[in-house]
Amino acid sequence: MAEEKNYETRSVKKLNTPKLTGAYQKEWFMGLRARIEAGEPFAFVGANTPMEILQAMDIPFVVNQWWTAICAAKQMGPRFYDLLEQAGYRNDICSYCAAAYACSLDNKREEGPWGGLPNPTLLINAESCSSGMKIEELMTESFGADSFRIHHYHQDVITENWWEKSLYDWEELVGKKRIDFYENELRLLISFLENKTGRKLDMNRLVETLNNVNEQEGYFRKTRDIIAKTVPAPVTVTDTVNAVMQSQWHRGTRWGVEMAKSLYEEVKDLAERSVAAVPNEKIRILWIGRGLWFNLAFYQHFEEKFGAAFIWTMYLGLAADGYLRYNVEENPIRSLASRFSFLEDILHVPPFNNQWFVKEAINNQIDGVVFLVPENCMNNGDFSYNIIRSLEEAGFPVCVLRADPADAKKWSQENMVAAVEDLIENRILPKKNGR
Amino acid sequence: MSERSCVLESAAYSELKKAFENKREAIADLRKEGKKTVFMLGDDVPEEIIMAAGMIPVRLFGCHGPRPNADKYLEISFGALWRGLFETVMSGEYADMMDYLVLSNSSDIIQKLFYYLTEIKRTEPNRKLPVIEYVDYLLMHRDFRCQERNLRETKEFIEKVEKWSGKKITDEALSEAIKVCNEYKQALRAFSSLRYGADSRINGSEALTAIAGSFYLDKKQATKLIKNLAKEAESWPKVDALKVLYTGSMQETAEVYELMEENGINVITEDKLFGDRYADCDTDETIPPARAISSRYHNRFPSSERGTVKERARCIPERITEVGAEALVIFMNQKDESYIWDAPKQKIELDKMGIKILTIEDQYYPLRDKAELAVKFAQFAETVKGGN
Ligand code: SF4
Ligand code: SF4
Repeated sequence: MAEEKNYETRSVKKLNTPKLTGAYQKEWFMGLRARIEAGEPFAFVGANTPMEILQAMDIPFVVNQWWTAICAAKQMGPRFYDLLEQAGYRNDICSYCAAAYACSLDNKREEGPWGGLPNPTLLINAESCSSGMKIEELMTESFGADSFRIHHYHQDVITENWWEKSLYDWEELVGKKRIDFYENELRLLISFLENKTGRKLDMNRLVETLNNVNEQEGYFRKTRDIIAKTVPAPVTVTDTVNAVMQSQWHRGTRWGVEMAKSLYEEVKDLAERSVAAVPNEKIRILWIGRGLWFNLAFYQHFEEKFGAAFIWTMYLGLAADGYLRYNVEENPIRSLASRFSFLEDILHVPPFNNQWFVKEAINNQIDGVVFLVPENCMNNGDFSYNIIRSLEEAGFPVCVLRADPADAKKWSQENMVAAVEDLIENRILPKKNGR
Repeated sequence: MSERSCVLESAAYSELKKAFENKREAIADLRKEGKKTVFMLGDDVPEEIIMAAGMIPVRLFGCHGPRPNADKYLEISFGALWRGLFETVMSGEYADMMDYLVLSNSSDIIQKLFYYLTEIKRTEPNRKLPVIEYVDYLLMHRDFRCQERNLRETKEFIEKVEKWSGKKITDEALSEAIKVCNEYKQALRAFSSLRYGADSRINGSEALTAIAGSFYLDKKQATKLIKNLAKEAESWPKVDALKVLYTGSMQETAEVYELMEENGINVITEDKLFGDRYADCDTDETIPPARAISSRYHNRFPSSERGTVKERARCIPERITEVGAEALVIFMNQKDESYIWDAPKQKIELDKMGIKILTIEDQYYPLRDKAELAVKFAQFAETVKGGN
């Protein structure tokens, strides 16, 4: 029977690391503001850009998607959509990607979170979808910033089980032609940044940064592995997602490494002490798609009712498998090109995405999959048919949720709960009980 | 309204219309000599290279009937145009003719279709799918990086097609193909010029039928027919309707244009491949052919998928002035609404010129609610005309 429970917007805070990373966000942002107000350049960058370069050059930057998540958590959505509408744009499509543009239109930006977003002087993006590129162009104009766009080259090499090649054979994984192309793009980006900011990229600093990334992602990898092999799992996605993402935005810094290490140690400790996130864990769920930033407690309902633990998202998964690139010293820029160019493929291009999800489902001892498909994105095309087919063929039942993960207003709690309950009650449990 | 009797009486038009309506037959005719056929999905496949190799370039068109494969394999976020094109490939209806399929980077969705089709071909080897290739031109920016990349892509595509055809593609053969295509494009432009201005003598649906029909004929024959048609069109009566520039989702059939015509609107130009954009500029015959082919992509009218907001805010009003259009129609299929990110900046310019915009969203293909749409068209025509 359905317990009536009030799903307020709150997240579970069992670990200490998320508290540290959470608290640091504001502190860091205020420090950044001070630097910008003192006249330093300020870059606003897409999540799919090689921010390691900015990190190594010590150019203050904020990641677009991080800022959007902060604004979403502060329930800024309605304000954004009004701003878009006033400027003559539709407010019901591309909401996630257009949030930062809406922000640029805000003439009371100081009312935003933590005093609002300072005015960027540099915008860096990697080519995305048509709408995304237009939105970035509009945003660049609106902010009055200089911009650099990294061009795109399609994936033309198919590698089965890509994760077996990514650590050392990353040149072969991406293909020479493509990696040549991206290496050149990164070199142009570096020149652009040197030119605009007057700062120089010290290659030794870049190597150090990339080594930090490897160290950081190495801890994430170990954390993922502990969760994968420990039943019941010591933590769920709601415990880890913030700590992972918040430290990922500071990828390549010592702070990022420390936080990844701290998360790893906490999770390891919980596992060693046999502390379970969901004490009555009966079902393990893998979640595909963007997280529900505004509604992390959604997951809790299923924990309590079914002992269903949501233990996997792409955030930790990608950190564990997507970033590591060893043998950096030989050509750091090239190794970065390999990492940066392949990340999107992992999530969006077959057979990289479907094979990876199946591998992760097996390793994490998953019982079923929830697949969130963003409803208002015209560019959504991960070949979901193929993902679902691969998972189902490998024995993992999949439930598809269609929703807008950025807009709380449009979230239908009942429908979504019903869909996941259906997956559990009619597909996962009968199978488990039949075993 | 639609096709007028004077038009239907034209022998040239009949031939073009026949090819437009019976594409399969027209393609079979082209293949009579035993040449291989290369289907093209996207605006930016360099067909001169295919011609120079002695192969036949054929424009892929969408399936307008049921689309079970699209429904099975594609995301709901792929609009009707893409579903139709995908279905044509997957249905197998043209499997006996489609030796090769080349997709170009003219839209994000085409790139995804490339990935999807490649994966389907890999995982379902029993399906009759052609050899699939992708031409990854950079089309949004026109700087040296893009120019270099596009030249390299062109050269690589030449090498691929050489492998397919088993013979070397010489510069002479390429230059000859460029010449043939330029003459064809010039004929199309001369024909289209009769669509423009106060003396507009051609309906949008007639133009679409003739232009798209000519895609399925031999280029030299098509050039001849279009020239004849242009000559005849000079004496066709003027079209009395609101003259508009059409942008948005591409129309592969005359359905939408005809509905507009029935309600007082005439599309006198469009920035779409099935229409004026195909022939928007020539390939330079004075520079080495591979360089000329790739450079043409830098000179084309910016498409809505691969043009910047800024460029389009300049080019659309310019084009409206050039052709003497009285309004702009933005017509979008459901889930094909990226045009909305262009529109507000264009509106600022068009407002200054007193040009009105009709925005239609959420459409399907074939049309679902014709009556409602007819009312919108008629009201718009009346408002703009009345305002004049
Ligand atoms: S189509 Fe999707 S990816 Fe592109 S801008 Fe819109 S929401 Fe973002
Ligand atoms: S400026 Fe205001 S509305 Fe805009 S993003 Fe920032 S907080 Fe949100």
